[in-house]
Amino acid sequence: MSTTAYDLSRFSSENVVERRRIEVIDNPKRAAKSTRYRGTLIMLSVFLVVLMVLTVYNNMVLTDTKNLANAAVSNLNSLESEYTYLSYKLDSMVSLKNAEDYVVKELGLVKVNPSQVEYISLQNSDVIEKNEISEQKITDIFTRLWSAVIAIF
Amino acid sequence: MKRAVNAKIKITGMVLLLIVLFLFLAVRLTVIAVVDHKKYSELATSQQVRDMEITPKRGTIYDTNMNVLAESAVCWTVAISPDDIGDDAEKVAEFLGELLDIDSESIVEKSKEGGKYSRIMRKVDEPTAAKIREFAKTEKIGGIILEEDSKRYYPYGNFASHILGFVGTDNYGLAGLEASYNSVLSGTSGRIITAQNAVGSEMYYQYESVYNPVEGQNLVLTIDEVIQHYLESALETAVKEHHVANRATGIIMDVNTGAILGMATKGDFDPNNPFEIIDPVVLERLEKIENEEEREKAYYAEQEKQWNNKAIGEIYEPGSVYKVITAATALETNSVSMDSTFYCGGSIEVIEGTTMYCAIMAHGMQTFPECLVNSCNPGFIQIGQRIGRQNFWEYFKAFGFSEKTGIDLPGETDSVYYTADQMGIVELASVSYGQSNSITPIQMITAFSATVNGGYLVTPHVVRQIIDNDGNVIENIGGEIKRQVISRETSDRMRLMLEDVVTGFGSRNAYVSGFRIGGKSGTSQKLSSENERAFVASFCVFAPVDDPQIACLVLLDEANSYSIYGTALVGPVVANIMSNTLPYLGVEPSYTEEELLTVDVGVPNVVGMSLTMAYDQMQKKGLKFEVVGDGTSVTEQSPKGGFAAPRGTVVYLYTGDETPQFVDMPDLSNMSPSNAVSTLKSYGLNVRMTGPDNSGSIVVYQSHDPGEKVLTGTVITIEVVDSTGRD
Repeated sequence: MSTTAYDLSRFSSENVVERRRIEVIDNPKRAAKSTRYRGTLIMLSVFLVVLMVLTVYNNMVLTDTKNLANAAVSNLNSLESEYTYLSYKLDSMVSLKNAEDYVVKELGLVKVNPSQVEYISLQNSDVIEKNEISEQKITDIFTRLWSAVIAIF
Repeated sequence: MKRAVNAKIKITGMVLLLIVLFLFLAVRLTVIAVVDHKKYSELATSQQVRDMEITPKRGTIYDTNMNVLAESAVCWTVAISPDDIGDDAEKVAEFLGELLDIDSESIVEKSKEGGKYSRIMRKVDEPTAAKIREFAKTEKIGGIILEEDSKRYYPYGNFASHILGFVGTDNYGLAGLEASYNSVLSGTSGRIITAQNAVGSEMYYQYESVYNPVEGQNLVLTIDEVIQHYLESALETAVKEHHVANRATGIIMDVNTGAILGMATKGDFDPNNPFEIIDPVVLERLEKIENEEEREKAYYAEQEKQWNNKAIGEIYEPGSVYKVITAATALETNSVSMDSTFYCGGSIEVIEGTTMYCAIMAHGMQTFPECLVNSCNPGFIQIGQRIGRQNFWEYFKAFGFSEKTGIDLPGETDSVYYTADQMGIVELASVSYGQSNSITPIQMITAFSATVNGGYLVTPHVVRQIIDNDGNVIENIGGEIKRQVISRETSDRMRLMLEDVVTGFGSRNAYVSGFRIGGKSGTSQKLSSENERAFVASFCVFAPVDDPQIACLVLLDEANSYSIYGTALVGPVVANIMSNTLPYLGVEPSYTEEELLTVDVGVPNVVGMSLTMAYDQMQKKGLKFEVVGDGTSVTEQSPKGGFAAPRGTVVYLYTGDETPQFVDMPDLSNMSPSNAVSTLKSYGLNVRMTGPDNSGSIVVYQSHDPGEKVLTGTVITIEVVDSTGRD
């Protein structure tokens, strides 16, 4: 009985089969493809990085703008509030009651008597005629002349 | 082989274990994500989402000419964070104590209590808050907190306080229009929903949702600021002069539309500080109470009282003003005619054992219009008997006295009255001349307006429009006519009769030169009061008689003065109001020949003129003159040129070295008009008199105080009142 383990002829050099030597020749297409692939990868990476950066920057700017807008609105509210408060102070000082008290007591003014108000009725042409002025002037001239004459004598 | 089997078993076991674990996780995930989805979603939302309320701005209240009467603005709540304030507590306490006018020790005490929040003061104005911010920034102090809040401003203080009302600390309307129109004024809150990260910072805006608030709408009132001012001034003066113990009220209304042009009650309050009592008479009364507990109780009672709008919230017996309604009812039901006559012997026995007296005198035989002019109680008792209780009751209801007017203000109270079934002969007699039935002032003026506007009962209202912040009209609130109560013919007759009342003897206190005014005065005893001299004096007028525009009712409750009667006390008050209001409304005065003789003219400036020319100038204006000195030209004059003076005023013309002298103003109070005029003339002073020159008239006002130094020739204005007038 011979076993494979003891078949030494298997290890003799006569039975050695020479391996075909494979010569590796670089495929140009494959090299180019590999370069393109790398390039695309790099470009894609750059693009993604840029996109990320821009997105983050965009959000930063928007957040900043939002904060600025909020601050402006808050400032507006404060100014409006101050305006209302100052208007309240001013209105309370110049109320009709205070104004009347001041003009009567401090300035010594009196209310207009309704009889002192002259009502004018405007006609279609909206023309106001006041004839007495010219008459008054003429009368005044004669009065002055007469007074002057008397004064001389 | 065995090893392979073992390996296989182990692998199978692990796979099974993995499957079991996976199944467990899958089930757990399903439970969390599907079954308990809502619960965990809410938990996540509450943790991740911050929700802030945006308080809407409360609407503004304008008068009819768009003057601001009430407006809201942002204010601040000042608080401290005791844990963060550290060693700066003393410094902060000193600064805030001085700025906010509070005890700094209390702030120090609060800072020692610990915690993250301790409130110091609410409703702090923006300029004050700015100072606090500046202080915190300059001193680099943390621990001072400013929280945004809203404050209501009423620029004119106690002006129209009962109409406007006031708001509480949470800006909810508690009285007046602030309460009745709270839902319109308050708007709807908005929300800002933001996402927050694990440390509580807000995430960027993409996670933010804003729901804008709906701002409150604004009210444009029928109230005219100028007319309201005239009313309030007149009431304030009346309360002070006549020592009114239980407040006064007044209403001015457009008789055709029911628009309230003015409504006031004095003593009132300042809506900026509604819980403070400002009436000095009330404060004096409270200070006299020694017991602290009683004083505090009385203080709260007075606080409640001062908020009550007397014009709509209190009832009174109208007295003789109600005779207008009785007269209109009598004419409309043909119970009387203009020629009907009634006898007044000074009293009338209504039923056996019950006699009612005339407040004035025995008038003798009088016509129906004369009964009204004379305000004769026995006359009106007879008129009431002719009307009959059923008709009386029907017209009482028709004129709106048995129901509320429906005015758009809170707190309108019901009237108290006798129905037809409850009215016996005695009751009918007393209600005929305005006693026993109790009504509100707003009911009285509304019914009075119906008697003069053609017979239409209108709904009084104080709001004209509701507008948004851009000025767009949301709602117009016009005058609603409830019903026609009397015919136009009856109304026309009533207007002329009421004019006769004002121009007749006794009621001439309400007369205003140049204007046709009609009205009726009233005086009613307050039977519920322990004070026998507790009366309500009132006067209700309208103008112009030929084309009624406005009505005015003024009421003095418990006046302590030279008279108790409405015609004497309230007549001059309504005359004052009408003399200001009618020209403001553009009603042109029309003077009689007699009135033209007494109207003011401008004193010409004649200084430097010769005496001849000066004489001429004076004569043209209807002025008299008196020459002082021997010169030929005028060197000085009194009154000076440009001043207003009545025709017939004596102008003192000084020639040579003489100049006007000062004299001491005499005390004219309670003098008759003739005595007052002759006294003034003896002092070399001129006079301008307002009021009726009747035999019972007395001087109640003089423009210069007794003892004051005045130049000779000065025109002194005196006001006379017929103190013998009765209602």
